[in-house]
Amino acid sequence: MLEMILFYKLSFITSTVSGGVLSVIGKHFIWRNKFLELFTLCQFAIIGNLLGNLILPDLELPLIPLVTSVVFFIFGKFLFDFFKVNAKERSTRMICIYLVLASSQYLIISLFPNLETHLSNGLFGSMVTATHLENWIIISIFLIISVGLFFLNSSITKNSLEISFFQRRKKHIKDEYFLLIPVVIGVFGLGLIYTLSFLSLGAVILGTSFKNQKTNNIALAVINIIASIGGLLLSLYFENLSTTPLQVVLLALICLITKVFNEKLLK
Amino acid sequence: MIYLSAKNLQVGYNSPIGMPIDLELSKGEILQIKGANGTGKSTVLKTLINEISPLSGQINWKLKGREISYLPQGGENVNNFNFTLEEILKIYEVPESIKSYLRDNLRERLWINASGGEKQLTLILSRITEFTKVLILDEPLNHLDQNARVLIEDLIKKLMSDDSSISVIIVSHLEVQLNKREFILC
Repeated sequence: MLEMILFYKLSFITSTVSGGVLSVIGKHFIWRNKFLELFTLCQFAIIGNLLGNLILPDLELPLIPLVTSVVFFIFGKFLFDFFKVNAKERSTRMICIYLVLASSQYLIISLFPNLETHLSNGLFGSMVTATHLENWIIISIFLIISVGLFFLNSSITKNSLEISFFQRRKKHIKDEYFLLIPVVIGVFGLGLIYTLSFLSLGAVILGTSFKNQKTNNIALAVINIIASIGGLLLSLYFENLSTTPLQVVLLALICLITKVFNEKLLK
Repeated sequence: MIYLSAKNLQVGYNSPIGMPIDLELSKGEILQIKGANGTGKSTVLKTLINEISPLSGQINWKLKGREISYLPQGGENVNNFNFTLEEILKIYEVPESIKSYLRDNLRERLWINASGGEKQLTLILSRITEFTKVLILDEPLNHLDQNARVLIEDLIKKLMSDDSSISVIIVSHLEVQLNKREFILC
């Protein structure tokens, strides 16, 4: 078992760093009521990933899918901001856009069936099958983001509260692009399900379960890291179990158990 | 001393709302802007703080931007967080002297457990800095019961008695129990 852990050490570092960072940034999207927008933007990134993989064999550049994912994601965000799609009645609009984008993904697959594996990876990802290069990219970017978050946390939190309290959106979109970087990197390297689950589950289930926000932040980061590492470890031990679904289910269980125990303790 | 004078000010987004107005705000004064729904009360405020450009007329502030604090009208918000009222004031970097307006027993109270009045009181305090000379409040008494309104009115009275240089502009369609001058939009 120890040998296996050492063999997958980069995956364990990825799960630790990603779990921690996603817990910190996820709550901002929820407080800003932007989670559905994020979910829809991730579909742009998956299309970018598919098209990147389509042109990859010709260019022989392994980073092309990452670049096209980022470009499509930012293009989607730019369209949303420019046409103010995310201003009014956005829930319905986002679902409509998601339906079109998801259909486009399956159209691409029907035209190029060899991309099906990449679509599956885009949804579920896998830390276990990630290459060294992919792991190092994810670890490096998440570490840089965590340093940025350390210095910018206060102003980002203030902006999130402003949006939450007053729906003041116009002046506070710059930091959103900063928060979106780890999301698009996460979707590319770790998959949509892992990224969005680790962004949201803790913040949604345990959002109001602690005595203050500082405790909440620490608890969510610890829970995210435990669930991510634990799920990875279990999937290595029980070979038939997929990594990402196991991590997500474990995260949900830990959050729910913590909520129940916390409420009993508070009573 | 006159902090603000607006002459022949016509507000609106694309087309004018109401008639052109003349406004003045003096040091240590409370000005309540009243009017029925749709008369452009909030639009006037947003124009005064330069969030919206005036369609015509002049606005002349005798103060610097950092001396003007504005609290917008609250809306439906996401409250899925664990902030205490004190944590919120810390995030907004409210000076200790202003934080003291929040009673000790309220500091550790979670935002989600606070009453409407306590929340509004925290939001008003979050706007005040060491430089604040004019506090602009957009419908601060909306959706508050009588006790909560008294809480907010007492806060404004105390703020102004502690610092005689502070002036307040309140937009409200409700009757405010403060020693104020009224400006009615129609």
